[in-house]
Order: sequence, then C-alpha cells, then structure tokens
Amino acid sequence: MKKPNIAVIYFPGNNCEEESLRAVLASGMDGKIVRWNQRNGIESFDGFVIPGGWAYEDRIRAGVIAAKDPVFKTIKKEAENGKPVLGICNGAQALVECGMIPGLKNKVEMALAPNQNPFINGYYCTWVFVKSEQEKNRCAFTKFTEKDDVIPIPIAHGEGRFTTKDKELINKLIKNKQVIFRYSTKDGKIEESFPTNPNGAIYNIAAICSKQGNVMAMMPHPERASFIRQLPDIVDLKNQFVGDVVAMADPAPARNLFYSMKKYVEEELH
Amino acid sequence: MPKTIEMVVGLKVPDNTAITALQTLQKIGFAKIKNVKREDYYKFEIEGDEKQFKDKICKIDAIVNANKHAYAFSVMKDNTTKILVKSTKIEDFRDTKNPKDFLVNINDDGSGLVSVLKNRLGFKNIKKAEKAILWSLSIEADAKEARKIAEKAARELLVNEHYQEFEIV
Repeated sequence: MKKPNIAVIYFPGNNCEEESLRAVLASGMDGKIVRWNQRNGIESFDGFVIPGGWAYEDRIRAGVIAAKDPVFKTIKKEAENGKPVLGICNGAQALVECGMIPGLKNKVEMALAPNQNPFINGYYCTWVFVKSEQEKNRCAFTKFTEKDDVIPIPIAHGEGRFTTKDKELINKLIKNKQVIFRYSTKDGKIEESFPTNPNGAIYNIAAICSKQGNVMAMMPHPERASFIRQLPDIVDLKNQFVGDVVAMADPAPARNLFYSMKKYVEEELH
Repeated sequence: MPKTIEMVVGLKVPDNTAITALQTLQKIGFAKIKNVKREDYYKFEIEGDEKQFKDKICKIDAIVNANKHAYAFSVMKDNTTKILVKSTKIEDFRDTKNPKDFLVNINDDGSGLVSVLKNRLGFKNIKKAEKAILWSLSIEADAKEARKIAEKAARELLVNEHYQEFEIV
C-alpha cells in the first residue's frame, strides 16, 4: 500500500517544521516540508501538518496573517474532502483564526488568547499532561488513544488560551465530542487551577477537532514528545529506559497521534 | 479630583506590523485602505500634578523607547479613521494555589499596568490605567463609507472579538 504523503506547511517564522516532519516520517508516513507560497501540487498530498513557531512574527496576533494566506483556501478544500489537517500550536492558532476549528459556522468562533498565568508573564514553556476526552476513533488523530489516556507533552506559547464569547459554544463542542484533549494532572484529574491548566483555557481545553473529525487544533506539541528520549525525567516512562540508548529512540505516547493520522489516511482515503 | 491623561506611542522606525496589516487588508479585498498606522494607546487616571506625571511617564522605557518611539499626549486629529482595540475583561480566571495579584502583563488589558507603574516604577498617584491599540486607517472614501470599511477591516483582520473589543473613535 502506498504510504500516506503529508505536507508540513512552512510559513515564514515557523520553527517546528523539521521536528514535525521527523515525527511524520517516524510514524511510517512519507512527508515533505512545503513552503506556504508553493502554487501547485498542494492538493496532491494526503494530509497536512501546520507546525508551530511564529508565522509572520505573530503580527497583529498569532496565526491571523497565516490564516489569510491563499494556501489555506486549498487546505480548507482538501479538508472538506476528508483529508486530515493537524495544526500544532501556531498551526492551531491559524486554524482557529480561519474558522476551520471548531468549524461549526464557517467563521471565527473562538480565539487563542494571551495566556492567563498568575506567575509567568507572556510566553510560557513547560511539560504538562493532557487527558483524552473521547472514545478511540473519535477523530483522525486518536485511533490509538483510548478515553482517559493521559499523555505527557510540552507546551510553549504565549497565546494558548482557548476562549470564546459565545457562551453556548463550549456546550456544543462537548455535545459534538469535539473537545479531544484537556489539561490534566498526571493522574488524569482535571484541575482548572494553575499549573494543571497552564494558560487559563476555558474547560481546560488543549485540543479541539472539527465535527467531521479530520481537522484538529492542538496547542501542546506532539512532535516534541514523539520519542522516549524527548520526555523529561519527571515522566515515569522515561525513567524506565534511562541508560538504554536503543529504547530512547522508541515511540512515546504522543507519537500515536501521527500513527493515527497514517491509519486514517490508509483506511479512509486510500 | 482625578485627571485623565491620554498618551499615544508609535514607532518612528518602520512598523512592520502596520505594513503587514496594510498588505494583508489589501490582499483580502480592502483596496480603498491606502495606509495603516498602529500606536499603543494609554489612558491614565491620576491624582496630583499632571505636568510632573507627563514628564516622568514618557521616560519609562517599558512605554516609550526613545530610540524607536514617538509619543504624544493626545490622539492626533487627521483624516484617518481610527479603531481603538482593547482586550475584554477576563471573567473567569481559575483559582490559583497561591492567590495573589495577577502578574503583570503589560501587553494585556492594562490591569497589570497599574501594578507595574505603582509598585515597581514609583507612580504612586496612578489610580487607573488602560492600554489599547490604536489603528489609524487612511481610507479613500467619505466619512460614512470609511467608517463601514473600518468596521469590516476590524472584524475581518484587526480584531478577534472573542477576546478583544473595538470602537471607531
């Protein structure tokens, strides 16, 4: 069977494209870093990763200029055809600013607003835990993630607070099962307070998928938690393999998002 | 009796954000917008000597960097259509393990700005401070149409109304 071929879309100012591509390749897919202004051939890819960084220097606000880029017209169209689109951090911000997430009304329905953090001003990076809210297979990225699975994963952002002025929206997202990951303790307990919720996100939301399930905006960085060696020492899984160079290259739990993307393409699109 | 002092601070070097805003607005269909200027807008409520406050505030590097900023204590009256953008008040921040004042975010809604100015920089006479972004759009249209264009530009690019609010001033 042909391997899924994923485009990692690189905007000027992104800095996570290489690592995102590495995670794509490590999960058995083919992939390529594709510049934002490539005119032709975008639609030939089987899926898309919009990586993290500071596209267009976050001018005006994070993700908004990238969201207006012509390449997003193509990505939207391909997403409507069922192709998976994973927006990570700055990529998540762009997906929210172009309305693809949550994608209920074809307009901007949410914001990824500046962090509300009682101790750290602005940009904040740390390791957190996210808990899976939905049953396996709810979206293209959770075919190997059971409900209540807890994944260690890093965040690194200044504008990661999911929020909305539409008071009914969160209820709709819960009803539609679009809230995929929430910030939790390492035991899976949802605590709204800092540091469990690192940025004040409403309902502790860390990742939201589209209603169809093939598009996901995720603030934490799964590409930075795809190998055991990337995990910090506070994670028990890492400690089991300390000193074992071979095991350090093994997949970490966040790799499952990319394995799932592969399975989704193979089962749904090929 | 508290006095209200406005202050606008803008770049005297090229403003890449304003340039990008203009180019993006034109690319998404706002052909009548010919120029965009962006300034930080502050509104202070103080007690005491206004002149003394103004003399001191313009020397605070966090607000005015003399190498790159120009400032004024009023909003310039010109032919541009001005949009003032503020962050909306956060309604529900979670309890913290150690309740304390919000750490300052000088780029947020200004609620931390008072704390910085008062507690760290010695402005004991400040009662209130607000910070916003002031966009000035040069629009090739009469005043009524320019206002409509500015509102549309705000909603389509300059503002995310899920955490910001704006008014045409």
